[in-house]
Amino acid sequence: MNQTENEKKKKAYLKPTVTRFPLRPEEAVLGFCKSSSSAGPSGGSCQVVGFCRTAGS
Amino acid sequence: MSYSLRIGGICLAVDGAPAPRGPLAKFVVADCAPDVKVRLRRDGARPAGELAGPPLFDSGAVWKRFDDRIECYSQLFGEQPYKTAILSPDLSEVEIVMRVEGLEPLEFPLDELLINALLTERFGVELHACGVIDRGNGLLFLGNSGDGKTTTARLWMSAGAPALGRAPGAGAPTLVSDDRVIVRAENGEWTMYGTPWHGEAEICSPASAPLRRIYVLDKAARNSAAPLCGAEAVARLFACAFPPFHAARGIDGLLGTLSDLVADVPVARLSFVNDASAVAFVREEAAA
Repeated sequence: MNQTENEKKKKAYLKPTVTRFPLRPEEAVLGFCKSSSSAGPSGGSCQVVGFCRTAGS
Repeated sequence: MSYSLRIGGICLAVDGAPAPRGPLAKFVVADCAPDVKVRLRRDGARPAGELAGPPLFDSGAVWKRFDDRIECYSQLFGEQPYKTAILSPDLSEVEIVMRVEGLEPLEFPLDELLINALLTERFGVELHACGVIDRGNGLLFLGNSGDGKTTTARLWMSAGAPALGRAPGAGAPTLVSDDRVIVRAENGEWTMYGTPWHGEAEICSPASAPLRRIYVLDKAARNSAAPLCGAEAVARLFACAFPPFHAARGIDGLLGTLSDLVADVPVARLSFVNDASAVAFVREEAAA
């Protein structure tokens, strides 16, 4: 394999970039439940913990 | 008074409490080899031993994680925790101390926090997602609140998936959850499990299936799918996971699990229209 073939196989250099992805802290830490209908994230103990909010899923 | 729960393939043997009502009841099993033994104390006394030290993580709302325990709080019950889970170092034993009568000990957020902690050690992850089993294939639709998980669940229900409490017809898709799904590496493949932690459509099932596709939801004017690879796919999944922010080793393990997952299971951004064409599009895409 000569030099020219090696150069052809090299990938083009891509400058590193930073991409930001949205993280929703209140969801990621299980900080609330969505409604007071039954249990879990949308559940009965939501009535207990008292941190409910309406939000689409 | 004892019962066993199996969630995401993890078995909890609960002693000292009546069988749960509501969604958790669907996850009660006759018998299973316990991964965790949970014991309940209702005397409300603070557990013996050391309960000092600052929290490792404060959720800012309803729970705090300490090295040896999780404390749960409610606006209704003052500044003291209304329940506390004392954890053995390897999480094989949990003692729940209830300060308030009449509550189910494993209800939100304790059940979910415990299962998440156990998944970290078991090549698993809980994801904010809607899960569908279609023709035996697990399809995961990932998104935060408002991204379309419940919309997706309703589209698949319209396509034949049964509503809550109804039996599926032959060949009909099965919805395992409209909000939270567990994924685990088991026996050389990735398995998708339903959870008790449903969303607005109140869909939850203990059903499981091999995971074949992961779609990141994106509401759009037409249906399309664009593959996501490597770090971008991991980042999208991480943003819909419930990372153990209190433990660097746990975060490391989660990132490793997600890296392995996206290397094995195709991930795509799914732009979808809110009508039946989205289901037909996914079926065609998944079969390709």
